[in-house]
Amino acid sequence: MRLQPRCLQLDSVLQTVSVLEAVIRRSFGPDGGQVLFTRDTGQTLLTRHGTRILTALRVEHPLARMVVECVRRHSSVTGDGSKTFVLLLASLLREIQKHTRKARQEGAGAKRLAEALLAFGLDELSDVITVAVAPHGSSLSDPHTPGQTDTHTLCRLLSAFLHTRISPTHAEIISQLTCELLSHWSCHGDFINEHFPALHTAVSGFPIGCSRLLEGQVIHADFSTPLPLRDHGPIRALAVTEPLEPSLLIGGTVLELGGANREIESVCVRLGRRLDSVCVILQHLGVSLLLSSVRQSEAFLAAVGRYGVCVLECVCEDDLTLFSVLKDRGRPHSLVVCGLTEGQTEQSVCAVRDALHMLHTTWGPKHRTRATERTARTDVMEPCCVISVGGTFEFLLHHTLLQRKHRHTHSECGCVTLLQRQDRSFPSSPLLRSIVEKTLCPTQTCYYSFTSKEVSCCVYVSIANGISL
Amino acid sequence: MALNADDDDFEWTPPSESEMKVIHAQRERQDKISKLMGAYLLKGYKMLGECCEQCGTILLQDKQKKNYCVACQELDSDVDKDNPALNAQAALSQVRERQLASQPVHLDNEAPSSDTPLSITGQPRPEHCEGAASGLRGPLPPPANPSPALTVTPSFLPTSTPSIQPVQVAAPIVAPAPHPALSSAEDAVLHKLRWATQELQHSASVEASIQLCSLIRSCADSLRSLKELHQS
Repeated sequence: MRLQPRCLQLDSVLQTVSVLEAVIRRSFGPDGGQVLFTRDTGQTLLTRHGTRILTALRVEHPLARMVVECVRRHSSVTGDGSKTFVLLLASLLREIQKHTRKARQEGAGAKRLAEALLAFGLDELSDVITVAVAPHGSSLSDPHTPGQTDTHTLCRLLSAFLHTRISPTHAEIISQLTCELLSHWSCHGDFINEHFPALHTAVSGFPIGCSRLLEGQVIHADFSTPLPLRDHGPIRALAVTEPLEPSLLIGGTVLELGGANREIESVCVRLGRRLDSVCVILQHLGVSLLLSSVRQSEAFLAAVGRYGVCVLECVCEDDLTLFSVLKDRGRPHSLVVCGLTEGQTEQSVCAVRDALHMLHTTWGPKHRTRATERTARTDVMEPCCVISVGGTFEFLLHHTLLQRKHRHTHSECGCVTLLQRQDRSFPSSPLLRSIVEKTLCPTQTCYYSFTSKEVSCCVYVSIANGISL
Repeated sequence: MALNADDDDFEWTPPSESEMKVIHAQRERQDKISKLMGAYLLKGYKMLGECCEQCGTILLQDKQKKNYCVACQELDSDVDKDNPALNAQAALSQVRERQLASQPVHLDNEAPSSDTPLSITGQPRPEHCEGAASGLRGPLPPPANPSPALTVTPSFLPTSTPSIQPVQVAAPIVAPAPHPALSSAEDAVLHKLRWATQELQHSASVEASIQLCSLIRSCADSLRSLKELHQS
């Protein structure tokens, strides 16, 4: 039977998105609450992260699942903004519904308006942000040493970000440690972001205040043999990804004896000699630590043990990869994140990982706007431009759009009329600006309602009065 | 999708006042539904891919695999709780509010035992009803007819309609002469009785019919009590 496609009504679309908005709204903002998920197995998940909340819900509605997937992808690219995404989406849909309510074909009108808004967002909106909003931000680059990161701005950014993910007291500790980690690695955010699974260790059962930075790389292994006591000299380590013992002696294989000498004892002796030769090679190389990503046989462990070699088995691949690239990086540092419960620890680890991902996005060159592709454009948004959290960006953009709306109301009337005559199906720029400006209002309301933070209040008042920051 | 130019699509005119009211009411209802559904999702309910046949709201499913429509089963019944037309308790609280509003309010807060008929008669106190509770908390009106009124023995109705009893207890506060509060109460109850009858004729749902029948019974009992008071 062939499934007939059904036309989605804007009302049902809006309702679906509004439900998701209601779910994450409580966690939005500097004073947003946390959601505790529990499984039947007793596992808990404590989070304020929009993506995690939405993906943990039980949702079968196809449109809701699509929205959750969009949020997840957005978050995977940017590292942040998942709750804002849902809030702005709901607000935009409401504005579209308001403007197409009276249309004869509401669905077609809404689709065209949405496409026009997308084009507006890609073209004009990015210019607005570049020209009017970005100058109010700060740069992550150190003004005195270009190419280096301004540590103070970086720490403020990290602190603000982590405050949106974990509780304020914990955020201070974790942001301090993360800043320290970045400073030790000379703020090579990309490297830390790429190797973060190997650069951190989560330890549950201890208060978060026990979190610290350790000098060196922490190797995570499932099994280990004792390291014989020796003098404090450099230790040579070898990383292997295969079993070193010849596979004939590993259980589960069938050994077919052939040839003149069919005795099993002679085969074992020959294999044993090969094992000894491997150990001799290790000793010759001076290896006293073996990092193996797989399990080695008992016979091998016993043999290398006689030669004083310690073996770590089932070491994760990320650790081995980091181990192999570290030789050119100097002394590494690892982050140990503690938490009283597994859920709390995981929350802190996820927050740090997202913070690094966000920094990676901020440092990346892809923030150059389309303006660079056009001719005769000199105002390019500087990469690594950051604006303080708490709704500053939304307030600035809202104010700029309002100003443009008022300024161009009279001057653009003629152009708008001309455009409308030429292409009546295309909504005018002032209309699109107005829609986007009104879309930002609910987000502002969310921030403004949390005016226990004086910064947000001052920013809003300043913008409302037209005072440049 | 039709690509024909539709002139009306983007020439947006602000809605009129009546349209705004309708839009606001609709939006409020949708916001309430969304909030309730969001809360249920966070409690572990599942959002299904189906909609309710009656109202079109997305269905939820609890862990016992029971489907649940927030609008039909909660929002509308919640509204009904406060709607005097469908809930006798709400009707009584509205009556009490009107009575208190129409009488002069005194500031002295002495609490003579005769001025608290509810506690003396031991009737079930309608504190759970907001209007009545605020009436109780507020300064009490002067005892127009305290002692003789208190000797009126309230007739205990069946337990299915316990909300009727406060009417009989509230009545002693009012003076026996044809009081505007009594007549306004009668008018209100009659009006709701007529409305409930009309709704019952058009009702297709069993649940709503049962509620309307109980409302009509409550209205009839209220009218009977009011008439008794009127005559006494």
